Amino acid sequence: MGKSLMIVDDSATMRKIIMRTVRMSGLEFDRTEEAGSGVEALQKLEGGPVDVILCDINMPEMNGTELVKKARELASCSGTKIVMVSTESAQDLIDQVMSDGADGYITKPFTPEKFQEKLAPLLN
Amino acid sequence: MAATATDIESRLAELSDASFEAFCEDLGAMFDADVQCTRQQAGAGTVEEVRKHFKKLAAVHLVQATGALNGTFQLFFDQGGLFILSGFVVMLPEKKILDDVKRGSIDDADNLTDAAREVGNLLVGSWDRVFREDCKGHEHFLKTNTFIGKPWEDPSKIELVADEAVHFAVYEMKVASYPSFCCAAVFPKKAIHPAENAVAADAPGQASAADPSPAEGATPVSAEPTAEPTAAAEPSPQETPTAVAESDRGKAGPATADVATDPQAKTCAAPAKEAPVQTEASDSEGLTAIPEDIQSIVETVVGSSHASTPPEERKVPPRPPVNAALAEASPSILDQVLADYTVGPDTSALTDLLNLPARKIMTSEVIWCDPEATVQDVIELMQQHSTGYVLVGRDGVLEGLLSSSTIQGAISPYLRPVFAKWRRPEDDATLGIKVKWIMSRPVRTIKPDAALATVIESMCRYGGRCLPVVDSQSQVMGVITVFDVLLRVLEADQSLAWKGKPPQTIPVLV
Repeated sequence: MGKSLMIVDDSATMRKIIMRTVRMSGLEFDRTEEAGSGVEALQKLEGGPVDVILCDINMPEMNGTELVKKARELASCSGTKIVMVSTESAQDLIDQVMSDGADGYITKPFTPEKFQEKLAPLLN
Repeated sequence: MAATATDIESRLAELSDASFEAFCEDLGAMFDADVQCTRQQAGAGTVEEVRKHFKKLAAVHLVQATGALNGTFQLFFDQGGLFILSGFVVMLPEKKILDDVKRGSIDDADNLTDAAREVGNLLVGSWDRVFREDCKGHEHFLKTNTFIGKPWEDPSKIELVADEAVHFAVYEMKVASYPSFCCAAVFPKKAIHPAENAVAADAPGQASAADPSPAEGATPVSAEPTAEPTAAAEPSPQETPTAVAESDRGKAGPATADVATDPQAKTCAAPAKEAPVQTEASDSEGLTAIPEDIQSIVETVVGSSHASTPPEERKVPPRPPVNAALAEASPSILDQVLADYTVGPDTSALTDLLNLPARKIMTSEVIWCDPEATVQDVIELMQQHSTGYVLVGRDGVLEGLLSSSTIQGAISPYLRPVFAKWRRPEDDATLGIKVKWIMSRPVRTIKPDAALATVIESMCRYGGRCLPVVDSQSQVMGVITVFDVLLRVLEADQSLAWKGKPPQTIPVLV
């Protein structure tokens, strides 16, 4: 069965860059969605779960850490893997979002190889 | 042991080198391009020394630092850097980027605000990583704002004052084959020696943690929506350079105006990458990165149609008639063909064939799409119905015609799986083009009673390979493609006994 991906970032440019990097990494998703905020992401998740969420941290309305917490409250997202993608590289922040329920953390700038390294184990 | 302000000051150029080098490597790896930078100058002076490098438009990223550096510092890109980096990450056509470098206005720059901000985020990400690894006492960098415009019209917008004492490092950066541009890191003295500005701060790190506005003007003029405080701003007393204030108080007061030119300019270069395929393509018509053979297809499509494509996107001169010789020869060309055949023993079968009415040749199954549909929609439609032609219109009113070759010409060739490595957001964007922008119109049609000879002549004369058959009420009854014609020719010769479905489409591989 095909995998699905949601990219959550308030920057349309970054969403496209992430999408392109995912493709370059060789990872295959049958369905991809985009959301410009945590609120929009939650609305879409209520309509149906996805396998993987790539999520920015610093966003207006609802930031990435809040989204992780709320997504974990959704029964439909129990199996969803959430990977944060952020320029923030402070270890205490990384530890915090991981304890909040994130499954991985990718720092910007990133490469296709980094995506492969971080996402492939989660997809398997 | 934490670095003192003096240590930081002495190492600023070195750290700046390493940070810009990391940015070049990161950007190069992300976008598979060769990115290099070379330090041109470093030293201490006033803002005036920086000003001369950034006289036109610039992008200035304001970075709030906590830890060893404490306060706001600025990362500058000149007009070239602003348009090249922003255009590069969103894959604007090379010609557009080069035009903007020379003549880009503030409006052009505003259109790239989102991209410029993301470039700033990536840049600060690289800087934060380098300082985290190489600078003791560093806590956190946070990009608080990206200013785009002429920074010296109101320096307060970039949190500088005209005669402010700063340390700075100026670089020449080069991205792929684009012309080099100027960038710089500017560290106000108050960010290096915050104790001088603090009312009571034995430890700058602690002061910053306790104070939400650690440095003068650290609150951005117009903060980006993405800027949010993070947990990284917690105090680290053990790493706080307590000695900074005291040692610094003993230092010379006002900054000297002389600028130390670095005699050992350091080259920071990302490893050269394999050149992407698209770099050779010319973009004389705004069709950047499309190989020559594909470009010729695009030109053919545009020239043969009267699509309402925005003129700035597709300024292709109208193509002359497909085959002038054929056009001039008609109608004698068919007579000549018949004359040639009359040499043979029996021409009745051919005559019957050429007199076959369009209604008996056409394919009745017609696939329609709405003018507002996207290229992606039509590709799916074509694949679903195994057809190479789709009529565009509403309520049975024919507005245009789309062929698979038109689609091929409109979408980026880098959508093909073989080019996946070079696929960029701009390539995907071509799938969102509305069909009304690329469809051929007006559409040449034919009546149901028209003979095959007329169909062939129309196709030869006007170059169309698909003719909708329309009745007297302008209702579409079906379509005739060149494949339908060939099929009738084959069927006319019983000796071939050819049976099968004519191919209708060139696969659109996306």
